[in-house]
Amino acid sequence: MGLEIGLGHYLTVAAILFTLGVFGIFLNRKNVIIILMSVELILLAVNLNFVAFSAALNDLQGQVFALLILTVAAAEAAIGLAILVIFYRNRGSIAVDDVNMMKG
Amino acid sequence: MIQAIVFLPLIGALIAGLFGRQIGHRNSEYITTGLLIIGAVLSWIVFLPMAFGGGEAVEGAAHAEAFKVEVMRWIQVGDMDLRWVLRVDTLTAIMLVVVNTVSSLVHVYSIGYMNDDPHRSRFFAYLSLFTFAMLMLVTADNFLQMFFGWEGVGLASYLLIGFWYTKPSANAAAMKAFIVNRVGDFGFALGIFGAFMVLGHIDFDGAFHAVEGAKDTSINFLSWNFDAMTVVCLLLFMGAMGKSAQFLLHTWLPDAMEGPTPVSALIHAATMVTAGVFMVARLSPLFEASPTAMTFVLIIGAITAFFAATVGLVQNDIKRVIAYSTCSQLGYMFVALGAGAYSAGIFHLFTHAFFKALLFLGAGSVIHAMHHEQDMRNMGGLRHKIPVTYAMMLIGTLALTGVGIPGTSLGFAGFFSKDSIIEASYAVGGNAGAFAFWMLVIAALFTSFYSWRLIFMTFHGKPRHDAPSQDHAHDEHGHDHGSAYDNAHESPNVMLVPLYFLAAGAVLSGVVFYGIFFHDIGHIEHFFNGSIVVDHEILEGAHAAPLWAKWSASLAMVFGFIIAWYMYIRDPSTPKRLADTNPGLYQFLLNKWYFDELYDRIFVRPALWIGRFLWQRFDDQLIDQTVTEGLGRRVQNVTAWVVRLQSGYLYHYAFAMLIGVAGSIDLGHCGRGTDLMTFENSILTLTTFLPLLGAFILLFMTGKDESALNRIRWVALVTTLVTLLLSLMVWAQFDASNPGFQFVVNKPWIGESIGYRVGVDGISVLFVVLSALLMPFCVLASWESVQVRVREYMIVFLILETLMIGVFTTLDLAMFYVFFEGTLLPMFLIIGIWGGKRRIQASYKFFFYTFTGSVLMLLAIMGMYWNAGTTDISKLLTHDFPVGMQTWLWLAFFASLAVKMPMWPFHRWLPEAHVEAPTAGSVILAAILLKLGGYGFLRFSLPMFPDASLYFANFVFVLSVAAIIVTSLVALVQTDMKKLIAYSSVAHMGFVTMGIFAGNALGVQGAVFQMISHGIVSGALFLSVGVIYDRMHTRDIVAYGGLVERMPRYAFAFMVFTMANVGLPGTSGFVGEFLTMIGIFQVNTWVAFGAAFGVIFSACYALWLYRRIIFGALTKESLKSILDLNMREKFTLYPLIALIIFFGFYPAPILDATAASVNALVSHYSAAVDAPAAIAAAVAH
Amino acid sequence: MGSDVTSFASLAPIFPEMAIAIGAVVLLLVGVVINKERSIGISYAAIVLLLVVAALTMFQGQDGILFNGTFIADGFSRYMKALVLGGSAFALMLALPNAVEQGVHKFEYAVLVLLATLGMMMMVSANDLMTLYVGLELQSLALYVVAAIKRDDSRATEAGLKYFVLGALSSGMLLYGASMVYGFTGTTNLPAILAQITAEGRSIGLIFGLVFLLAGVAFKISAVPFHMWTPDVYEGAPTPVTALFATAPKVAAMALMVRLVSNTFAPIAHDWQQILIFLSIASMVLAAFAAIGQKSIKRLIAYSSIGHVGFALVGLSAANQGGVEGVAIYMAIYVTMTIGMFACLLSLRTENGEIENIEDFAGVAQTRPYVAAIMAVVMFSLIGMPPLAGFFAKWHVFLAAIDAQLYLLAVIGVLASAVSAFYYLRIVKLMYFDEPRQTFAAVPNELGIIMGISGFLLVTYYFTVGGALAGVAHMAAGSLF
Repeated sequence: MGLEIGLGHYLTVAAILFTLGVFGIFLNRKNVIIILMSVELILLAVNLNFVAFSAALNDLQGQVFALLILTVAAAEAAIGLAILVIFYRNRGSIAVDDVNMMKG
Repeated sequence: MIQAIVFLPLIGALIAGLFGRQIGHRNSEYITTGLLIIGAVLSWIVFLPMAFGGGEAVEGAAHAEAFKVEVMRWIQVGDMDLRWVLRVDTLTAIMLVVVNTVSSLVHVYSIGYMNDDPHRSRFFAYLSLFTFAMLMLVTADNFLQMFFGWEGVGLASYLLIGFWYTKPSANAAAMKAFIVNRVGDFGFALGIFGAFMVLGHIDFDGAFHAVEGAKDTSINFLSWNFDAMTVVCLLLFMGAMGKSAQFLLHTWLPDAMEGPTPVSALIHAATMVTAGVFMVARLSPLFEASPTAMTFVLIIGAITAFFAATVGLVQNDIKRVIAYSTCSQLGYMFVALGAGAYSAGIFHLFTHAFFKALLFLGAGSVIHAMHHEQDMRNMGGLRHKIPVTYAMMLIGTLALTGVGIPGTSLGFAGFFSKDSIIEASYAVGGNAGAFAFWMLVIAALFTSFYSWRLIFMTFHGKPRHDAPSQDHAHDEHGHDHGSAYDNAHESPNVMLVPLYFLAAGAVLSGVVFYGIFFHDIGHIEHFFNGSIVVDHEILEGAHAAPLWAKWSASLAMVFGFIIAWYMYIRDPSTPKRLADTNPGLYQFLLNKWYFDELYDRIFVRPALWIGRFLWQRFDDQLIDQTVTEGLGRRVQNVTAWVVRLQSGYLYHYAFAMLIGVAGSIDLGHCGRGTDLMTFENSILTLTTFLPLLGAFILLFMTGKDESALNRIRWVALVTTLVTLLLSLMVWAQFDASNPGFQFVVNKPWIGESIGYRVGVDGISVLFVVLSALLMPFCVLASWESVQVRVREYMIVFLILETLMIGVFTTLDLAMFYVFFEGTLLPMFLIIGIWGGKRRIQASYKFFFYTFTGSVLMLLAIMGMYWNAGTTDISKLLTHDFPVGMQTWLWLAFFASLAVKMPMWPFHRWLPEAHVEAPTAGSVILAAILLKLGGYGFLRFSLPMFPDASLYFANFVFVLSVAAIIVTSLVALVQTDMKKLIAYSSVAHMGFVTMGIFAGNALGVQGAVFQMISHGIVSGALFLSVGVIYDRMHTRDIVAYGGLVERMPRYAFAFMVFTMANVGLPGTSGFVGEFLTMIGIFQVNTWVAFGAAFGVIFSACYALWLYRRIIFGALTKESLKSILDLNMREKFTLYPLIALIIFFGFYPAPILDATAASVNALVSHYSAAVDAPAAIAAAVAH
Repeated sequence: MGSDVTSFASLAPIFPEMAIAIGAVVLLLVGVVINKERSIGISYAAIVLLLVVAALTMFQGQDGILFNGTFIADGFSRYMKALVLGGSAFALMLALPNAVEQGVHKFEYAVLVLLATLGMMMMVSANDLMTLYVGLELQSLALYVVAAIKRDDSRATEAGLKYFVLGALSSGMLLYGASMVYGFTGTTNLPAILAQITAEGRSIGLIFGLVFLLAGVAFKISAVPFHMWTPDVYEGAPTPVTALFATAPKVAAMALMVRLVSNTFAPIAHDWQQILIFLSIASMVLAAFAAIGQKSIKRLIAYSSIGHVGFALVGLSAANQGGVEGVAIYMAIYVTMTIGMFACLLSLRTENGEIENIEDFAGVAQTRPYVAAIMAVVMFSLIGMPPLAGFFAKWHVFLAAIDAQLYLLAVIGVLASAVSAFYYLRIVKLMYFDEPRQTFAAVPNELGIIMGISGFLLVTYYFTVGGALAGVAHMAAGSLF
């Protein structure tokens, strides 16, 4: 009796990835880079979702969306890193705990 | 002719009062006295044919039964039709003779007595004013006119007692007189309300005819069922007790002797104090219907006669002895009335007027001779110095003690009338009758004793001028003790001649009129001709009294004389010995049974204490510190907490988002006008927006120099005046018989939901006029007091005017809200920018209180729109909201309107806003902005949510009465003038809410009138405060005193405003209070009771304020150079005085305009309220 | 699937977007070649472009659906686009004076704003989850950069970083939601989703998708609790940038929200209504209280904007056409008020540069009466005092809420607005009742004009534009129902 890998499994994996990504953002207090990675993780989860659905529905739109997300994610990462660089220039640190000049 | 009799004194008073300075004292005296003498002669001409004209054969035909002269309309509301009517019948004629004769003699006498007083013309004006009021009282044809005269004499008495305003004791006595009388009037007013409710008529004839039907009915008064007539009569009698100084309410009369002696003779002996007797006699048909009330009158009279006589025994002040004697004699009169022998009571009133006036004027002559020495212990042996006065006093004493031979017609006046009463009391029988009889006999003994004691101490024995004065109150007048006796001299003829006339009366009035008043029943009936009830049984019983009873009084009199002779001539050391052996009794009597002390403990101190408590604990601590500021602190706590959430850390932010998602997943389960050009269509729009145009013009007027500022002021003034003119045109063109909206313009604007809809009905048109009316005054009041940012100030004021008028003209609920809320902005700025020291806090408080209240109203408005599909007020008025929804809508409106009003306990913002606002701001705040609340209740709550209004009516009543009483008490303890007036505003608004929710025509029209009137009065009061604030820059009451010295015109204006605030009849303040109270009385007697009670307090705080500012000695250095009203201020205040008095006497313009609309409103309300009941009744059948 | 683009003319509905896109690219090229001193000219050109496009969209715009149903131009999108374009244009104008000090003198700024605007227009016109995402990302990416454009300023860069990280997270959530919606309806096309939901009804997966989708959009409109970035970014970013953030993106995101809930997900209104009510109440209440404790004027504005989003959501929660109409009117008035407020703020300059603290407003009425008057008008309008425009904004949304029998929401709303009056009045009080502490430089003409326009519209709203705006909003809302 083999294990039938169905839509549910894909979705579960995606959900776990998504949760990991989100937790990565708010449990991490060290490095902003890790946050960027977590964001990528979230996008990965989303892509997995889309592809899985696309396959299950026998519909191409999901895959098109996934490709779109990949491109946009690249741009997003580029901008994110750029901002991080200028932030580091100003502060000399990229620790998450140091990103709190403004509050209240 | 009767008009001449009544109005000549008024003319005299006006001439002497207003032009006294110009025409000189002497002329004032001659004019007033001359007019009075003419009046007196005319009175005799009216009276004599009645007394002696015709015979028994032509009974009833000799003179017309009570003839009446209508002067003008007064108050017409609903079933009530009140007119100024002069009624002349026998009773009136008697009173006319008494009043005018004594008054004219007192006038003459005063020319001599007041010879060296610097304010003589004012004195004569007051005297004539008093006479006029008294004549109005006795010629009254209805309850209210009588009440007018009643209060009028109270005012004159107040003014005259306090005539020497620099004497603190005189001021205190004046206030005491007014306030104690107010307590009596409280009962009197309730009695009038009750009589109107039970009998359905406010005029005497109608009421008398209705008495028969009202017998044995019962009314619910204060949740108990009582016999209707008993309640009414007892309440009415309470008024009589106050005015006639009967036991319990007598304390003011002896103190009233602080006034000049002619005043004591005129007011506190001959005329005013007998008003109570007159009233009971006048209303004898009513009293006849209630045996209980009659017995009560009898017993009170008897107690008073006895009590006052006991106190009179030991008094040392010559005038006080006579005062207590008056008190006692009034008791006699009431015994006669209580016995049912009305004619005997009137007889004693008649004779007493002569001999008591004689005694007082004689005493005045003594005091004059002794240079204002009043203590008898410092007199003695004066019969050699002033023999004529001695003779006159002797005649008076013989008349007072009732010297005569029983069974014959030989005797002085008092002998006949007093013996009549004693016989009548004997004839009553039963316990009460026996009690009264013995009390009177004992009192007769005491009367004789203290009268002769007075004569012996004053005129006999040796001069005791060097005896140490123990009565320090009179020290300031007891100058030159040593030489007083030596310098004593007989009074001039101008003082003696009146004494001769009175002496003649004291000797003759008894014997001449004995027949028609008491002796001959046929004569009596013919003479009085139905003007009082003539009870045959009691009169015959009195005539048939046994010989010992008839002799008893004379015997008592003789005993009294002998005792007095023994104690003061034969063995002058007896009194001291007696006093020493019975110190308790002596002190008890000397201190007048400790009534003053008792009242002080029971009433005065607790009232002040409660006032202070409510103010400091409730207002300041509970509402301000705990609720308002507590709320503020809670807000700060929440804020601090929320701000901490914003930690600045990314992961916290992300976490918040996650929580948000989790929570969300959980949760996942209005055309433009074209024909606005015609007058009809454009007038309201123009009136509303013209001020805005003015503001717009001002926007372009720059410049900082004085001429530029003046230009700005003029533009503002002209704008407001033109607006006023337009509003008056609206009023003139307004069709009062049409209850609907007029000058209607109806244009959809934003969709269908909001439209430009304007129109006025009978209720709103007046408020438009009022708003427009007060604006010019505000501009004038700010002319000099506002010196910074003048242009902005005027702009804000003009914008405010547009918003206020808009509130009243708009017929669209949404627009109403826009205007209603919009008024907040300018007011906020006015207080915040041009206000006093704590202006910022005050403006904030003002803003938040009113804003918070009205946001709820906004919801209700939306709810109404949702339910009715329109915001058109004229449509909403006929829309039936579901009962359940009404409740919520009502509450939401209430939240907003009650704050605006402000009703207690939502009033906290008001005092501070007032205190801090500039004068004109206060005026607008009090005069118009407060009315928005009342207007809202009238426009929305009552007609749109009738079921809810009925449901909440009691709740509103409780708050209203609480407002009237509580805030009055709080006002009592204020030290800041504006704050005091502000609290008084809250109290007056209580009448408004009370009247509105009474839901009957009387109440609602009263409420409307009260709002208009209060608008004028409170505006005037704030302007008055502004006048002195501009000069001294303080509103602290303590900083003032004795202003009348330097500012007589101001004192006069302020007096009118104060009296209007107190609700004195004849001022506009009275009409509103009276109508609301009579309206509420028919709905809930408790509320009427509470409200009437509050009126007493209003007199307290208002008069006290006046006394502290205006009266007293001008001791403060800073006030010595203060200037009287300047031209601009006269322009501000005098028109308001005119309005207040005009509407007091002739409120018809206002009442007529509102009548149709209010009737429509009331019938709509009662139909809506009755409908479910009617259906329920139908179902039950 | 053949293309529906057959001729150039058939592209008419997307002409505005094309114009902005081409304009952005051209200006970018020009900016690279021209002298740096003249780069301010790029801003002028961008402003002109935005205004022209706004006018054309408003008056000449064509409706239609393009690109296989992924793009829609209808009355609603035209209304919102006009607002977005106008907001962007005025935000750029606000940046003109003192551009150097604010760090927005670089020509890239104008180009980035154009690109962000393009993204916003795509959001407004999105008819497919893909266009929605692309538009949103275009807008976001451009704005991340704009937030940090003053790159040597540590606060600006921190603002950019925060905005970026949280924005990325929100994008992820939105995408996750989109994927769920796609999975449970089988399509990414909004009308098709609507048809599918109408036919099939709701499912748990769909609700999950909806929630994540809404969370992503709620971040953009900064509704509580997705608002946390707002105060920090508003404070850190240069003031003209804050002005931009507070206007155009809010409108675009709100338009997106409106289209999603009241059209696409209309059949399951019951589910999203609860969420929106929660967001609305949370926003109104938290903003009202938090703003009281602020010292920095820009943070106060941030909370104020959060609160106003809450009020706008009151209308949306009503789930009826009147509500959408209310939101449309609300956003228009909100943009007007915000622009006016920033114009006032930017015009008050001391020798130390722009003012930062609320206390700095003390006595402005005496030294700069014109600015103070406009500011007071704006503040009272923000409170919602009649007869100013702000009152009518609230009026419409509350009316819709009452209509939908959301009484509690309305009550909380008005109470929150009473609390919010606290901090708005504080500014009025400072300006009018307190004594001045510093002197201010003269007001630049551009700002004076903007202030005047804004103040005029707010005061005379009822008499001038009110009727017209209500009519247009009515039509706009009608195209969604």
